[in-house]
Amino acid sequence: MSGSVMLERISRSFGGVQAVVDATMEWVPGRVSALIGDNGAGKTTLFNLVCGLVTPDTGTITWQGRRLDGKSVAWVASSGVGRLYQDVRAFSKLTALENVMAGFAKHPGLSLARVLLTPRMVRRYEAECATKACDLLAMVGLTEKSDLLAESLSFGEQKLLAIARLLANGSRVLLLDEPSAGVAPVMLDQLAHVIRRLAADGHIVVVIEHDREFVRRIADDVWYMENGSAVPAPNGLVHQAGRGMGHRHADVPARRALLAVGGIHAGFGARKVLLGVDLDIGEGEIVGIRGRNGSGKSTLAKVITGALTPQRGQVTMSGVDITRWTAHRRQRMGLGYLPQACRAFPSMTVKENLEFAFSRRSAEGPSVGEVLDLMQMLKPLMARSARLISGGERQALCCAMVLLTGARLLVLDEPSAGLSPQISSALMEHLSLAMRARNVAALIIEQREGLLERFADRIYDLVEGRPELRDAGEDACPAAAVPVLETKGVRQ
Amino acid sequence: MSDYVLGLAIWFCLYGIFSLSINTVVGYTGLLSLCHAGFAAAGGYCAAILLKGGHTGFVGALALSVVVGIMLSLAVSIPASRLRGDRFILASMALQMVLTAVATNWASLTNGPYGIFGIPRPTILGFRVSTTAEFALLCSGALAGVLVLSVAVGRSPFGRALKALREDELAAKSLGLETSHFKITAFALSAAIAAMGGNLYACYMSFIDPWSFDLWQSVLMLNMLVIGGAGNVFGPLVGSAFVLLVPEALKWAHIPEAYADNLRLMVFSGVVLFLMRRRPQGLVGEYRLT
Repeated sequence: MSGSVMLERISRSFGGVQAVVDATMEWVPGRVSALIGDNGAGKTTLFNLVCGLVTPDTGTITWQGRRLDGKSVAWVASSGVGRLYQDVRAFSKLTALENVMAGFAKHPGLSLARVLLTPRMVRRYEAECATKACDLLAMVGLTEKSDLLAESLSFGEQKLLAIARLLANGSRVLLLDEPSAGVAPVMLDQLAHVIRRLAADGHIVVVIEHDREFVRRIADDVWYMENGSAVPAPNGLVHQAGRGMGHRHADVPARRALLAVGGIHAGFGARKVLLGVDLDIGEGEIVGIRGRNGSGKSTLAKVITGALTPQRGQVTMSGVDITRWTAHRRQRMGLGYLPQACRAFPSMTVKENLEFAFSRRSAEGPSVGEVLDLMQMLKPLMARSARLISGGERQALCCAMVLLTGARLLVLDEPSAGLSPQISSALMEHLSLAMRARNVAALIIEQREGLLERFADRIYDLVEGRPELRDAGEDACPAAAVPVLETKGVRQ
Repeated sequence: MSDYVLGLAIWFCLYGIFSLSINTVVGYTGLLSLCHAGFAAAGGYCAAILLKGGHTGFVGALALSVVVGIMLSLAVSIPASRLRGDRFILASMALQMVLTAVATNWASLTNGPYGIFGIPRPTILGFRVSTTAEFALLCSGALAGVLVLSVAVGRSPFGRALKALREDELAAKSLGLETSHFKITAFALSAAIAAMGGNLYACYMSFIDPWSFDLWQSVLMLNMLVIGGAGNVFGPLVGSAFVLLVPEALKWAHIPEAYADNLRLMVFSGVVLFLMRRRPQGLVGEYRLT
């Protein structure tokens, strides 16, 4: 169809990782297309390719007879392709109303000459825009917040604000990266309604979604992505109910608490992210945290590791109150932190990286040789520069480095992000072996389904919107039960 | 009114013009610039050379200053519009150094390190601005004009686009805004204002040399914003008043000249450090930190 966005045989790789492989799709006006699939399947990269952030290695993207690939971000945007970013990107120090008004990209007042020479015309147009912007704010239910700074809105509200801004921009193609993540359940109906209405008005709407239920409600076409390839999804995949809420292994013997987190309230400015989180980790125990984007997982990791001071609550390690300690003081006490998207030291070789980490150890930890024995995948890479190893190998290197610091507790923020399922499970296999061998405890943040169930002793769900930690209890999903027993077997 | 107070008023107007100028780039657009004194120097030398040589009248010199200021701003903003953060600062600093070096070494035009003396007082439409009071009137008129311009720009959709790209350049691009175009325009506008300020300065002092507007003056202009606050028009004015009045207060306190200069620097450093910690948005910031 001529009005469709056509992606033909698009491929793109980063370093050694194939992010998108030979993707061919058609996004049709008046329909909502959904992209589903694991983290790291290439969904966001696909959006980046369409909106000009990344240029495809091969393949073409066409819309209305024009090529979109290889053009600048601003060019693609002004030709009518709008993008809602996963991390929203509201203009934080502008008010909600100003955010929406910044979306009017055809405003004559954007030219300084017009502002100075024809102020009256600019003012008239500005008044019209203000009226339209108020209507858009009303449509997403933010009328009362129009004069607040965007940064003081909740994550979900900022997302709705960004959608309103996108509508002001007049885009005909809307790429929405996880529109429902972090949006309070009460707003979801509103959001689904807005998305359906946009499609009914003839827009091309494409959403990346993890929430299968939401996809079922809004999507006409569903594409399933895995390892960079996209296929039309069979119906069953969409209608399949979500997995069980989590799993607590019943036979885990009571351990001495290594880390205890009590009543943590934390956030950024007026935005409260954690509202009373309680959690404890025993010695040598592997605890998993799941939850959707914006549910506060990384914030929790930051509070524990000292990158963020909580507004209320307490963090204790081995009975010592470390709530107000600096990050490096915690590190000396044996708290290791692997932040999201850790890069190691790219200009050093793998060996140098490991030796550096070893030289910074806080306590008697494993030697480089011992860690290599446990993380075999690093052995053949020792002489390579850390810049030239794949994403999975780099994650393994970072994990090994944290282990070498002699940490007794590791906080790992999405160690599998950006890795293929095979690589991430191999990585977790190595890592959990190494941790069990040294009786190192860990708090692992993960989004990928199925990984934590295999390697963690306990899993918590951080509930979106109202982020309370909820111990998932014994209502285990049967699929996960067997691998957990296996893991336990390895430990003993 | 005593000449002393009028002199202070003139300095306040000049500082105000400079701080409002740099505010367009730093406050609205979020780019740190270390070359605004360079633009002022260009304006000042235009006035000195044209007026002293009798080539043009004051208005002609003013117009040419503005044009030269804009041209120079393009020299840094076009290549640097793709740069951000540290690299942009370095690029602007490089331009400042080059301009100071040119003023020092192009002796046939600028009289080199000796500077240019005896720049005549301006004559506007046949009216000669000779007394301090008249000059104060001229300067306050200029400041008022710049103030009106700054407010108009800040409230306009153009200003909103500048602030949007300051907050998140990628998001602004994704709305179809050509961010480099906005950066270049904002830079040119602010250079034009700075050059005009430099022009007035040269006429008032009737003297200019390469060190009238060197890197430290650029830093001082930034200082006014850090102290007063950026992104609105009140912050820069409060900052200007602060930077102007602290040395005056030290004079009244009968601190010997030899110490006063160092003390002034210490006071500024202390204030800046204190504000960084306690009130990073400045005394009169654009927004309140939550």
